[in-house]
Amino acid sequence: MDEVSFIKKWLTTTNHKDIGILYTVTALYFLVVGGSLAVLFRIQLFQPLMDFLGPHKFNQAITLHGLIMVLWAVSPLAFGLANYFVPLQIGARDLAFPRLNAMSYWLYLFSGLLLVSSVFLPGGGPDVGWTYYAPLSTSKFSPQPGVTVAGLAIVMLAASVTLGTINFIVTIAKMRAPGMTWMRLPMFTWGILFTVALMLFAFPPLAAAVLLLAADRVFGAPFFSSPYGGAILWGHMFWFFGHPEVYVVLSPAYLLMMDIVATFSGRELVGKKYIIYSIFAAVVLSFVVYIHHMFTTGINPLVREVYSVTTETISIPFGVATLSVIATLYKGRIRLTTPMLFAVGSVFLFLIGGSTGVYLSSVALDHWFRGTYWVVGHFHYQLVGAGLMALFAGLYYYYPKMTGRMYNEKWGKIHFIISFISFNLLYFPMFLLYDMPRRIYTYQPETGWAPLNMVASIGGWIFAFSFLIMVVNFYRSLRIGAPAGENPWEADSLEWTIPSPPPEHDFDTIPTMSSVSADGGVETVEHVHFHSLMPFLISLSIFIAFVGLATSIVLTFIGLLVLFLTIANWYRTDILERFSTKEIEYEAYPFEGVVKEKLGVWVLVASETLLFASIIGAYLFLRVRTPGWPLSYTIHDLRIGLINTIILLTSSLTIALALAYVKHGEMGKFKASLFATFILGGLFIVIKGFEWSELASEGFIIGENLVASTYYIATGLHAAHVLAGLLGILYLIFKAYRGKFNSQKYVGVESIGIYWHFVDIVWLFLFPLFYLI
Amino acid sequence: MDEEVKYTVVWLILVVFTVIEVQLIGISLVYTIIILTILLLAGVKAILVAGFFQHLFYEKKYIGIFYASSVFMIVAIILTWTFGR
Repeated sequence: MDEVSFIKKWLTTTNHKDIGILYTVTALYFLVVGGSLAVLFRIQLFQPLMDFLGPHKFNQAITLHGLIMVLWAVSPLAFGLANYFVPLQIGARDLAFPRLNAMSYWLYLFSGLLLVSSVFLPGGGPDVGWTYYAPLSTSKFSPQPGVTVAGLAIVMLAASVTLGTINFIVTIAKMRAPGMTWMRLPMFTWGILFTVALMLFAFPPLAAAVLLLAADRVFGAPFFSSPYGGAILWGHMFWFFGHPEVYVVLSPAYLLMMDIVATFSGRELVGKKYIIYSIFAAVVLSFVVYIHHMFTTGINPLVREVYSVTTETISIPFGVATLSVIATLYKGRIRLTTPMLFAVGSVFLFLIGGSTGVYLSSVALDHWFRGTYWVVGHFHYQLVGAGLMALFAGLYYYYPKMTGRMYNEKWGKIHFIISFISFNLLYFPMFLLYDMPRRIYTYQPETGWAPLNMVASIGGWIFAFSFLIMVVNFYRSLRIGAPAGENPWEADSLEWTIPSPPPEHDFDTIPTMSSVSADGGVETVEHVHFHSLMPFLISLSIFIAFVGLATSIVLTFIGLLVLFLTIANWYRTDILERFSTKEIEYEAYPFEGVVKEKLGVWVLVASETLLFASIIGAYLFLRVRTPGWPLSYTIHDLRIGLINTIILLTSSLTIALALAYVKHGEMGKFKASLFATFILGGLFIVIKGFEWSELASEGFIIGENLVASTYYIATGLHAAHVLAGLLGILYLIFKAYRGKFNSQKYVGVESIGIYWHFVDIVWLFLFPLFYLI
Repeated sequence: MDEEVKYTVVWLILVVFTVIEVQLIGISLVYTIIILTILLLAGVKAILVAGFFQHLFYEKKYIGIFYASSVFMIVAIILTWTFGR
């Protein structure tokens, strides 16, 4: 392959294994970036009164380290493995929506580059801590554009995550091989399913919070600088995402560890069904524990007590799962390979991390430990010790499958020993530094913190170095490693039944399952992997547009132009059905007969529901606390609100009728109904624009006060969704006029209809909240 | 066609409920009751749109459960944020 076709292949690929490799390599790159920042600030903390970084650079380093490690390194590393192995583990030949999968990756990459590039802006990158606590993160206290740009990077990442969640949920629900029932899924696939379910509900509140913060920073909208609880509101919005995010990072790694432990114990996982139920319980509970991050904010004592109990409760399901792992090891035929060492090591570190966290669930103890190095030690034991170590186990475990070569076992074990010891050198002293505040850039000699900080720094540098051992081992083994064969570990899931590395189409025939192992195959239609540059171009154009916001508006226009042209091209190819494939369904309980696109839209709607719920939740939070908030009907013209509501309700009627007509083959009425929906939706936007200009002329503008700011953000976000829906309706109209729909073929109408009705439902609540009461 | 009639009736109910919401603003009642009534009407309208127009009443049970789980999350968010002080 020449250089041009090599580059073209990687820019245009939609194959899940290629995307998996891209994710893995990029996540390892961000791991190096985030790790390097940690090496730098550990130098700064090595001795008292060090002047290596200084306060401003130190604050930037810890902020970027936290953001990169949590959002761009550890979690995406799991998704690299997930992209590669989930389709193989369920017996599919790709994810449900390959082009969206590619777009998830490119949005992820460019969002990370946007984040890192923020350090080159005047005033430097974000220096407010990875939690972006308000009001510190508002423009009043942190005016530099780097804070805004990093926020935009988070929004871009949230878009990537949303596409990824839709893809994995639909793939696992709809594309399992014959006989691949839910309980036969490998634990890693379960881990990814739980993770995307968490992401689906956790990321929209984060996106909403960052959007409000952006409005705060750009337009002066005083959401988080409000004296009536703005800072508390940020705490709610951030930690509603932030605590489940811990399980987003942990779940795939923890459940992958279980597959590895079972393989190298030579027996099935003990109590698999109960582990799955337990982790499901933990996923649900993870949304009702987050207020333990806010115990010291003066929040209602009853709420604190309730959340203290729920936080302590969440340790039970993980206890059940860990006991099952120990039971699997007991009487197993244990092989201490490198992946097994890392897997068992991660369980050990998880136990330390978990038990030190129990103290933080106590309201009384949290008053002492809050904001100290105890907390830093605890969450690093969880996210790095349990999470990253288990993912390293996964990398060693799957390296032979991905490359067809064995890595050097001796160097693998050396890596484990060095990293395990240095990890504990780095983080264990932090428990003993329970009286040292985190996020301070230096300390006085008389504090007595120096010896423990020295040990931690030395441990940190060795830990960083140990990572290089794995990189060199993997790199050298690519050429000189022994051939791996199909199943070097004698594992029993489907990915081990095909050659290493797997062929492009994965399976010659779709495997069938009558037990946990494959026992045959069925012929199926030929699978073609499409190539498309559009996911790359769309992500690049958004990146350029966002960079332009902080540098030159010309760049923003160029970015938006490229984005518009690329989306138009995407439409064209879709209308021509260039990327269409025939959908065959095998094991799809409980979604038999629900077309993939439609299920994908339902998942999207669930995610969008949380986005609007967060905005409405923020509005109600501010409204009930802010004195003198006027009644909505005293501000707005009720007639305009009423007319627009009826217009939107009528557009819901027309698109519902359009679906009924196409099902009955009444194509003339079908097209007329689509057209009517488009006109009504357009009319809604025109009236909204007219209303805004009237309000603005009366001095009711965003940034003026909380009343105006909440109104414009909520109705503006809704209007943006109406516009997106209009683009969808336009697509349907083009397709209808090219004769692409008939009484048997109408899933596009159904799917876009579901989205349109959702936008209507949102308005049904915005109207009373912002116009009537 | 049955659907034409069914959807038009649903639409009429939605429009009437919307007009009632607006009219409630002008009447002299305890304001909390007015607010709760308006929000209740909005909830009923949302169920009608989701159930009939979005076909949720005729979808697979698990899609309904999935949708209900996001509604549960909304209630959790709004109650915790609004009153968790």
